[in-house]
Amino acid sequence: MAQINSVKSFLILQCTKKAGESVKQGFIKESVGSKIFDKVNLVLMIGFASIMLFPFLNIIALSLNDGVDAARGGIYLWPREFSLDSYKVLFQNEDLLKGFGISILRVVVGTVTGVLCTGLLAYIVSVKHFSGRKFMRLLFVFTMFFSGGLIPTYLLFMKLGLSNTFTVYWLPALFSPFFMLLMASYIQNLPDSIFESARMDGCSELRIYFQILIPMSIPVFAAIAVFSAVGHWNSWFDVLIYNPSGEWDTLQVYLRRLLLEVEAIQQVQDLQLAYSKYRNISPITLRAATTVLVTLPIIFVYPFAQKYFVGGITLGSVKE
Amino acid sequence: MKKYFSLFLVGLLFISIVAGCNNNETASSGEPHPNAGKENEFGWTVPKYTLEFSYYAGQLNPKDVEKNTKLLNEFLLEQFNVKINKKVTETDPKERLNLMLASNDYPEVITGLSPAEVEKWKNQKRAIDLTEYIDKYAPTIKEKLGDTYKRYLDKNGKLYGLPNYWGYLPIPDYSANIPYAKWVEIGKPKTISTEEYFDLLKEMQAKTPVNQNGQKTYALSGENWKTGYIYKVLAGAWGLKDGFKEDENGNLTHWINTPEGIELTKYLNKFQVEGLLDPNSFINDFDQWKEMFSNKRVFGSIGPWWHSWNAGHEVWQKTDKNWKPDDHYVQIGLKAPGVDQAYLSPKNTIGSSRTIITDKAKDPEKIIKFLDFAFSDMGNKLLGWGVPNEEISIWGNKSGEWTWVEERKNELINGKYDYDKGFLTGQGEYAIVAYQGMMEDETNWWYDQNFNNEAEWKRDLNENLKDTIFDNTLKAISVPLNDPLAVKEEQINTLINTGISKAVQANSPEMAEKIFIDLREKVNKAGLNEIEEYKTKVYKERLKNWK
Amino acid sequence: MASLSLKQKLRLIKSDTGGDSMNIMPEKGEVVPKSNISSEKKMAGVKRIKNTFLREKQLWLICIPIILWVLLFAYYPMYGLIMAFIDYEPGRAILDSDWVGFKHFIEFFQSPDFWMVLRNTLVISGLGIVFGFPAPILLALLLHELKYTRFKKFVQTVSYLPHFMSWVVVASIVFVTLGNEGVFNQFLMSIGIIDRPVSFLGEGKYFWGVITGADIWKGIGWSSIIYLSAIAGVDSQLYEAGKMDGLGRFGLIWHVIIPGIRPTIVILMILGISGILNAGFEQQLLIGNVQTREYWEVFDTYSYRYGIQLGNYSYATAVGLFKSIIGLILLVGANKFCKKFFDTSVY
Repeated sequence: MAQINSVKSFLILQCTKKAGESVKQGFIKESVGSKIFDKVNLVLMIGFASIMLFPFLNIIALSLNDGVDAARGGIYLWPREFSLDSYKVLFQNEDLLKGFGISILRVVVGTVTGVLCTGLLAYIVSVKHFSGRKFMRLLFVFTMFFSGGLIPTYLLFMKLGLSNTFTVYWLPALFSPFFMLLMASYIQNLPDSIFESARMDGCSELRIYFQILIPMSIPVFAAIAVFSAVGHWNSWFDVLIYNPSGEWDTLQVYLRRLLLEVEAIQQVQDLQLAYSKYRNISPITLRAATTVLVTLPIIFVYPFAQKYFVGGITLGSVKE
Repeated sequence: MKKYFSLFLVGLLFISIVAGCNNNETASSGEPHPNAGKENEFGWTVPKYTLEFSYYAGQLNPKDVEKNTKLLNEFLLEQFNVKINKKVTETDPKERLNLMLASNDYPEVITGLSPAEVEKWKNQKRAIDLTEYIDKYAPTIKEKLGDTYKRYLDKNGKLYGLPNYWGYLPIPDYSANIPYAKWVEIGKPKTISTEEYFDLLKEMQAKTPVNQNGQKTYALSGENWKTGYIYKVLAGAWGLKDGFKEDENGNLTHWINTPEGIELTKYLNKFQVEGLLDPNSFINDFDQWKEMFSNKRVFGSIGPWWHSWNAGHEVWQKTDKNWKPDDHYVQIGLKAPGVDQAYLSPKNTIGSSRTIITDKAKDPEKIIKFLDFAFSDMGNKLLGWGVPNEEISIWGNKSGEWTWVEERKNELINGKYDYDKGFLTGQGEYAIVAYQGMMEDETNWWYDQNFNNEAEWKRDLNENLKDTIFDNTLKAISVPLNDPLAVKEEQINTLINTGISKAVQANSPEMAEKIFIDLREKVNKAGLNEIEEYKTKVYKERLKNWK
Repeated sequence: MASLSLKQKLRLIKSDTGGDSMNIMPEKGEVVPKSNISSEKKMAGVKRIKNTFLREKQLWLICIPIILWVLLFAYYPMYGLIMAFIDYEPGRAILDSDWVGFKHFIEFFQSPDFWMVLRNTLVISGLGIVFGFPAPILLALLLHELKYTRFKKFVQTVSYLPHFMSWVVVASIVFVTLGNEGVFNQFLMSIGIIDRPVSFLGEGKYFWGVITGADIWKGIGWSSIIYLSAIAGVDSQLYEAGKMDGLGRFGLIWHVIIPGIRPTIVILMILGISGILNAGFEQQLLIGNVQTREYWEVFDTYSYRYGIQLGNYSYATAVGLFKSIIGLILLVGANKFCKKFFDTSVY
C-alpha cells in the first residue's frame, strides 16, 4: 500500500514537471512592452556579464605573460610577452596533482555527507506537527551566533584525534544551521498533505525523506550542493590549522601559500632578512596562473547544477 | 528504509576509519656513528648516537623548506650525525605558538620569539634555563657573546633565550635614490641635501613630464609609506635616531614632538603642493610601486636600497633591449641643511628574535652543544652558506681550509647568480642562532653580501651610505605585548600614520602645519608622553647596565 | 485543477506556507479533556508527553545523533567564551586564570575608538542591507526572465566568478579601477568632468561606497543562486493560473514569483539583520589604508588588531561575545516581526 502510494505521487510529480516546463515556454502572444523588456534585459545582462568576466580574463592574460615583463603592468586582456613558464612550473610540481585529488575527494565526501545530513535536519525541522521542531531549530540557530573560538575547537579536534586526518574536513561540517534554514524555507513551501498521506500509508520518516522529499526539493538541494562544494573547495584555513603536516594539503592551499608568502614578509623586522625573502617571492604571473588553475575546475560545478534549477514542480493534484 | 540510513552510517564510519589512519614517527637510529668521538672538518665532535631535535621556525612555505633542506639534512646526518627537523607553518606564527601552548604540543627548540614571548614561555615553565648548560657545554657561545652576554639575561641573571640574527652588520638599509647618470652629472656626491634633492627631482620631472608610454611622471614616490617607516628615515636625515631625539640627559623625545618633525612633514608636503608626489605612495604595495618605478614614471624614491635595484635595474636588464649597465640607480645619503650627520639605517645588534629550548627536550646539553657549534665561525658559515663542495655550492671546505667557489662568486658579482639553485644547498635554512655581524675573517652570514667591494654599484652604495649606519641597540625598545601601554602605542601609531599622511597631502604648507600641530596634541593626549617616558626609562637602565 | 482561479491558488499556497497556525494538528487539539483533579492532570500530562514521543518516535530517533553532534562540535567548545571574563593566557588552564569580570568589555566600550568603530560597522552593514541585499534578488529575477537559455547559463556562471577571487586579488582590481591612476579616473578626465584625479581610495568619504560596491560585485552572483533555486521551486500551475487570469510578465513576477520565494527572502533578511555587526574583515584590511582608517575600522578588524595581534585573546573574545549577544537580540526581534507580518520565521 505504502509502496503504491508513494509511487503514485512520484509519477504525478514527474508528469506535472513536464507539463510545467511546456507551459513556461509557451507564451502565446507577447506584448510590445514585454518585447522591449527582453531587449533591455539582454543588453543589461551583457554589460553585467562583462563586468564580472573582465577581471578574470585579466588574470588569465597575466598568467600567460612573462614574469619579469608583467611587473611593468599594463596587461589587460591579452598577454604582452607570451609565455607558458608559469604553467610549466605548476605542472612540474607533482604534489599539485595529489592536492587536486584530495580537493576532489573533499568536495565529493563533504558535499554528499553535508547536503544529505543537513537536508535531513531541514526536513525534520519542517515537519509541522513535530513537537521538537522549534527546539531543534533554536539548538542550531544559537550556534550561528556563539562559538568557542579557535583554541577550544583546536583542542577538541586534537582530543578526538582529528588533527592531520581527512575526517576533519567533513565531520565537523555535517550540519550547517545556515543551510538548514535555507532548505527549510524551501521545504516549507511544499504541501504538507503529501507527507501526511505517506505517513498514513506507513512510510517511515527516512523513506519519506529519501523518496519523496529529496525528489521534490531538487532545486534547493542542487543550490546547497553548489554552496557546499564550492565552500569545501575554497577553504584553506582549516587545512593549514588542523592539518599542518601537509599530508592532506588541498589544491587551494597551494594558492594560499603564494599569497601568504607576500603577507609574511611584511612581518619581518630585520631588513636584510626581508630582502633575502623578497628574492624568493613568486612573480605575479605565477600567482595568476595558480589562481586560474585552482579556480577553473570548480567553476564547472555551477553549470552542472543549473539543469536542476528547472523545476516547476506541481503537487496541486494531491491536495485536491 | 532503515537500510538507507544504516548504509549511510556505515559509509560514514568506513570513511572516517580509512581517513583516520595516522602517520607514524620514525625512530632514531641505534647504530653508533663510525666517526664517533672524532672532530670533523668543521670542528664538530661527532656524537656516538644521532643527535635529533625538531625546531619551529615560524611562517614559511613547508614545500620549499622540504626541498631546500634535503641536501643539508643528508650532509648533517652523514658528517655530523645530527638530524634536525625544521617545522614551519603557514599561518600567523603568533597564533600557532598560542595553539602550541594551549595544546601542550611543541618541538624541542623554538626560534623567532620576541623577548616578551620568551618571558611568557619561561613563566609557564616551558622554556628551560640555559645558564648552566652554557656555562658547562658552550664555551663558544660565551666567547662570541662576550660582553653582550648580559644583555640576554633576565632579572634573576638567568638566560632563557639565545639571540637569532644578531650582531652588527655594516650594510645600509635606507637611502635616497637617483639615476646613475644624474649622479655622475652632479659630481658623484655621497650625500645630498634635502633641498638639493627636491630641486633635482623637480628639474628631472619638468624635463620629462611623461614617460615613453605617455604616462604622467612624478618627482618622488615611495612604496608602502602607509606603514610609517618613511618618517623615521626622514627624521634620520634631520639628525634624529630611529625617530627619537635624545637630549644631553639621555631623555628621548618622539619625532612628532620635535621641530624636525614639522620640517620633514613640510618637506614631503612641498612635493605634494607642487604636484610632484606620486599620489599612490600612501596606498600602494610593492607590486604596484614596482610597476610605477620600472616604467620610469618616478625619478626619486626614499626607502630601502634594494627597492630601486629590484624594481628598476633588474627589470630593465631583462626587458629593455637597449639596456646599458649604467642604466641603474645609485643609493646616496640624504641630509637636511644644517644637520651634522644623517642617521638612516638603525641597527639592532641583539636581534629582535630569540631561540629557546623547551621542556620537551630530553637532553638539552646535546642541543646546546650543537648550538655552540652553530655559534662558531665555521658553524655560522655552514648554516648560512649551505653545503660546501657540491656542484652548486658557493664555498668549499677541505680539512678546515675554506674557499669561495670562484665561478659562483663571479656570478654573484655580475648579477647572474641562480638563487634558486643555491637555495638547494640549504643556505640560511637553519638560522637558529644566526650571527649576521662580521666574522673573524671579515665574511658574514649573508653569502651574497660578501663581495660588496667587487661589484661596482654595490661598492658605491656601501661607500655612500657607510656613515649613515648606526648602532641603535640600546634604544631598540619595544613595549611588551601584555603591557597596557602596548595598546596605547598601537593606537598612537595608527593616529600618526593616518594624520601625517593627511598633513603631507594638504594643499598648502600652512594647512600641513596645522594638521601636524593638531595631530601632535591628539597623540600626546592619547599617551605618547607615557611611551616616551617608558623608553627613556629602559634606555637609561640599559646605559647603566649594558655598558 | 487548472480551473482554480489565481486567488484561490494563492490562498492555497498561503495555507501551506502559513506554518503551525494554519495547519490543524488534530493530535494537539484533541488532547486530554480538562479535569479538576490535579494529579489526574499531571498523569495526563505525562501521558501526553509519552504519547507525543511515541508518535514521533522516528523523528526523535533521528534527532538523537544530530543532537549529539551539535553538542560535541558546537556547544562543547563554547566554554571558550569564559575567556571574555578572565585574563586568559594560552597554555594556562582557564580555571587557573584570574577572574576579571567585565573588565575587557569596559575597556572596549571606553576605548577612544569605540563610537567610530560602531558607526563604521553599522553604516557598512546598513549599506549592505539596503543595496547589497536586494541586488541578488533583482539579478535572479532578471536572469529568470532572460529568454536565451544558453546565454542565460553563461551569465549565471560568469556572475559567480568573483566569488572565487580572494580579497587580495579583488583589492588589486579595485586599485587598478579606482586608484589615482585607475581606469575610472582616466575615464572621468578624458570626458572632462574632472581635471585632477580623485583619490577614491585615499579619501574616507568615498570608502563606504567603494566597499559596498566591492562587496556587491563579489557576492551578487553567489547569493543569487539560492533565489534562482527558489524561483525554480515555484509551482508551475500558478504561472498557468496567473496567465489565465490575464497577468502580464510583471504581474506574474509580482503575484507569483515573489510570493513564492518570499520565505527565502525573509529568512535571509532576518539573518542579515542579526548579522549587522559582521561588516567584513579581509576587505577592510585590504581595500582600506591608513588614510581611510576612520571609515573602515569595524568590530572584527578592531578586535583582531587589539586582541589577537597583541596577544590578548580575552579582549578579542569579549568583543566577539558582545557581537553575538547583540546579534541574538536582533534575531529575536526580527524573527518576531517577520513572523507577525510575513508569516515566516527561523524558529
